[in-house]
Amino acid sequence: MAEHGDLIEAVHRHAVGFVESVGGPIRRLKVTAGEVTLEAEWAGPADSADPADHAGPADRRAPAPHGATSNGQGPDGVVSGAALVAATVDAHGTRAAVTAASQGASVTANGTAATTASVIPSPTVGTFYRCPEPGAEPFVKEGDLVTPGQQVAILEAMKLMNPIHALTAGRITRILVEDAAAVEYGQALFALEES
Amino acid sequence: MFGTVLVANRGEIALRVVRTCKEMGIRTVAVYSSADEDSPVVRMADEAVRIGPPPARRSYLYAPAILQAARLTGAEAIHPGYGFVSEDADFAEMCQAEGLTFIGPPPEVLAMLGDKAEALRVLSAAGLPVLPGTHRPIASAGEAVEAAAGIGFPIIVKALSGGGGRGMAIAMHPSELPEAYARARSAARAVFGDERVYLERYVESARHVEVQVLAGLHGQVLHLGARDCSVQRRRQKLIEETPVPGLPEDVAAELCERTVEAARAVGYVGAGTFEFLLDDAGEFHCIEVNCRIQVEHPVTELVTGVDLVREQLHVAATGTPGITQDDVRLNGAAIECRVNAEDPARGFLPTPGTIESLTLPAGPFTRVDDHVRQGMRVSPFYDPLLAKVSVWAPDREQAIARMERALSECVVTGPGVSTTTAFLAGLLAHPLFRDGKHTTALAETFDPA
Repeated sequence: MAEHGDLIEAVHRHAVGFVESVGGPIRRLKVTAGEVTLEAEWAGPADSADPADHAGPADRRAPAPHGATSNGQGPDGVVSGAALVAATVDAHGTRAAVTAASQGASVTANGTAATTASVIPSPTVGTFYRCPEPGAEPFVKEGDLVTPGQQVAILEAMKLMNPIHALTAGRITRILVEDAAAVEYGQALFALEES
Repeated sequence: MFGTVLVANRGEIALRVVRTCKEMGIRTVAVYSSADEDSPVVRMADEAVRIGPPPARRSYLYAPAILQAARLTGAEAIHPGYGFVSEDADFAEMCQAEGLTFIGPPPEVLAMLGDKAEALRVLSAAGLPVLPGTHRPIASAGEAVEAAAGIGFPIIVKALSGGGGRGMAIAMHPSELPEAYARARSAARAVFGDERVYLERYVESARHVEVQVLAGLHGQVLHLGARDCSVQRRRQKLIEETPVPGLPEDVAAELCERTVEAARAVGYVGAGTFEFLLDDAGEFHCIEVNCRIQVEHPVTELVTGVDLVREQLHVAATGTPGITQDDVRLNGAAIECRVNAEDPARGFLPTPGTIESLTLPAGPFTRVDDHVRQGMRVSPFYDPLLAKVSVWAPDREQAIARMERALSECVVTGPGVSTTTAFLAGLLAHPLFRDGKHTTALAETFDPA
């Protein structure tokens, strides 16, 4: 059963990473590990972090909710509340599912995906640094716009300082890792709202 | 001989030293950081002491912890391997003060040759050709510009406490010198905690040739031939071989003899390597001395049949090498490839991580200096060396074919883990390498795609 435990743990970790990367109130998240599907439903819109906006007027853009595939298509993401994630495994132990409900799940169904949420993943195992050197200003802050190729962090691995670059243009919605923290291969470092 | 030796290192070299100690009936003590508790040396050594957390400055570079481990385990001598404390004169002195034998040159020799500028003055005085340069620290950009006139461009600005290709900057033209000076100085401060730099003529295209020496306490010095380490990327050697391809035997012999004289003149003790650049005009220039066992020592061992670690222990315990120059017979050709956890397709990004599966080469005349095991995590805190693959053959052509066969057997997998195996195979197949006409520029410009 150890494998099933590992599977649940992995699914759980990825689901949490995904919820964080979307950076908005998740209404429903379904993850199936067997044939790899990821479904998400969330409520928007949110141009600001003001909770009042979540119940904003109905004249906001296109209708929602909408689903997304695992490429991380998302809303005008705003961080709103902590996600609650639970993992279950079926009787045969061959499929794992994760459901997530956020505190913001009751907000209006209005909203649109004028932008795409994505993450900047870690290219390797190492130590994540937000600043060019200790005490210096960070490369980017939450809310900053970045351009493709712009350096957003340093990843130290095997005595080498490796620059981490944004691959697409967009806005940094969330920094998902503490400065000087150890990170794994593929771990989401930044949540990005592509523009 | 020593009863107990502590190995103050990690990875493949720690395992390699422990293996020879076992063969000699010497009890071994391994020291390890918490990142290395799964390392095979921890189990292979008779005793293992955890000396600190993963960052090297708090474990493998932290002298008090290493010395305490030696006291606790009753070690009489410390083998420092390469890197870490191996060329640290202060550490060697602390060992002396504790009544421990440091397996390497005495602290005075380490201090003299560890100061790269002073080393060049001393080596030049000892009769070895060196590149034109200041051979003393430069205190300002203005002074650098003044000194440059007597050296000639291009010029490389190097850290006095430097090594491993770090803390240096190149100025191709006079206009670039002030900036190169500033860059090297700040890198030297960041990397070595010593911002002093000096200037030297930069040789863009050259062969890297080095001579292995072994010296006793009383002027008994012998050499074990020359190696070619011209396949380098960012001053990190990738492929090493012996003999030096294309170098006439009499020229190699003369270089080795001059090196032996110089090693005697500077009071060298133990195993060491004198490094030279061989320029397009066929001139040798001594660039530095590595006061320790070298990563690439297996190729010398394969053509001489001499166990260099055993000789290091012999010198440290008795004051004299266990062999004489007459015992050294160079036979055949040997090549070593360093298999690193790096991804050539992503600019040689280091790729540490958990090793899911591991198949290392084996077979006739094939030596693997290993340390990674299946399921082990290759730590992001240390260098990317996964294994050294070395082969011996009667001649270079057969050695290359054997190395290609050996590399083709090498398969390492894990999430996010890549290796340089295919890149190395590409270099071996390169016409310049085949002809032995390659320089240090080969791997820098080689695109395997």
